[in-house]
Amino acid sequence: MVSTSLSENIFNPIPLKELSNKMKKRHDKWLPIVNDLFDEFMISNGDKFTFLNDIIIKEMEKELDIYTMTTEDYTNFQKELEDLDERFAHVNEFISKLSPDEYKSMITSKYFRAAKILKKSAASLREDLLQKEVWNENDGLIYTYYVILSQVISNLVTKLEESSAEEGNKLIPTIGLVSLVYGSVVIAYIQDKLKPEVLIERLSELATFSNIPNIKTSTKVKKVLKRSRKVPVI
Amino acid sequence: MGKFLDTNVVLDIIYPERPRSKDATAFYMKFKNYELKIENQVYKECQSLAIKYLNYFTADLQNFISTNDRHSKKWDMLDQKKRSKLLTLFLDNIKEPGKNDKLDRIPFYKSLINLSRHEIIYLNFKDLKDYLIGLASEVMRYFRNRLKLDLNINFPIAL
Repeated sequence: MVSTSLSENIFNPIPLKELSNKMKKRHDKWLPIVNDLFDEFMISNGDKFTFLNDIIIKEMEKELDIYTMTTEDYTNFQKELEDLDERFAHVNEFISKLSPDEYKSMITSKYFRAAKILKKSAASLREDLLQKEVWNENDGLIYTYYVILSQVISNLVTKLEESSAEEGNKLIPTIGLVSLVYGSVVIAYIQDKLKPEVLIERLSELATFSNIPNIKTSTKVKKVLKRSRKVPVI
Repeated sequence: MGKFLDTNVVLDIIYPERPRSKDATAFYMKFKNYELKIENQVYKECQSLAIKYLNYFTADLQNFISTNDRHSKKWDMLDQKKRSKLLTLFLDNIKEPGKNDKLDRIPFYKSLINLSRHEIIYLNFKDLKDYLIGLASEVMRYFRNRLKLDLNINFPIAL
């Protein structure tokens, strides 16, 4: 297992950081709740972060895939969060009062940020894998998984950005669930709890659904390969 | 309407070293002039078999290079001809696990080595790892392109 970790829980579907950034003075009542929830559950500094990660990992084992997810599955997860801490229910209530455009804009910025963090984290993962003497199970596939997942999330968010309010309402639960279910694989890998068969299954689902990413080799490898092609094969 | 391919037929077509099943060959010969189609489930099953064996492959190859007496530093000192011989030795040493899937380990490795031998022998051990990091996406893309170009398959869903 490689040490690469995510210091922020980017797969939780509630846009706490974005809510906090956009809240104004009139939201004095809500702002401390949102900030506390973010600090306690989203940043890797305590038991609640670990507890939420464990709940997310459970999503990985459910028979949910990109083709069969429903809005109800999304609502069920929101209820789980509310059972975990009733402040999530208050935040969900606050979110329900936002205009569709405000909500869409927050979700868009949340998942663009998530995809960006995942992409950055993939780059460190790649460095770690190069340093590692011998790879364990999962190591040969995990980098591709990070890249394809960040690509799927980015593509879905771009689609959301360009969608009408009505289409957006359908897309938001999809993005939330895709990020949650497929992101749980990343969390399980980091925690060394990922079974190879789960990674294989989830990666092939993503590869069936999405375009296959073009993973670039380093400039050095590219140069060697370019040079090698000029020499006849032995 | 067209004809739907099953997993065995698809694997027979994509991986030339796989021992061909008679039924799959007969099916392909009979319907090769029809419009061929593939269901999501079949495509996903083929992908997951390929990814599974690729995962074994990357670990087995690295273990072979770094743990036997020809360890990684020696790999870096070998010329291309000797590295190529070592790859052949690697294939000879692979044991087929007791329980076989639709895609067997040895034929898959042979296909993979045949496709990438030229790249592998030119890279030192660290660069080889960099190459292996991207191999899963190469294999998946190769797989999709073969289906798309050779068989004119229309793809399920792509964003």
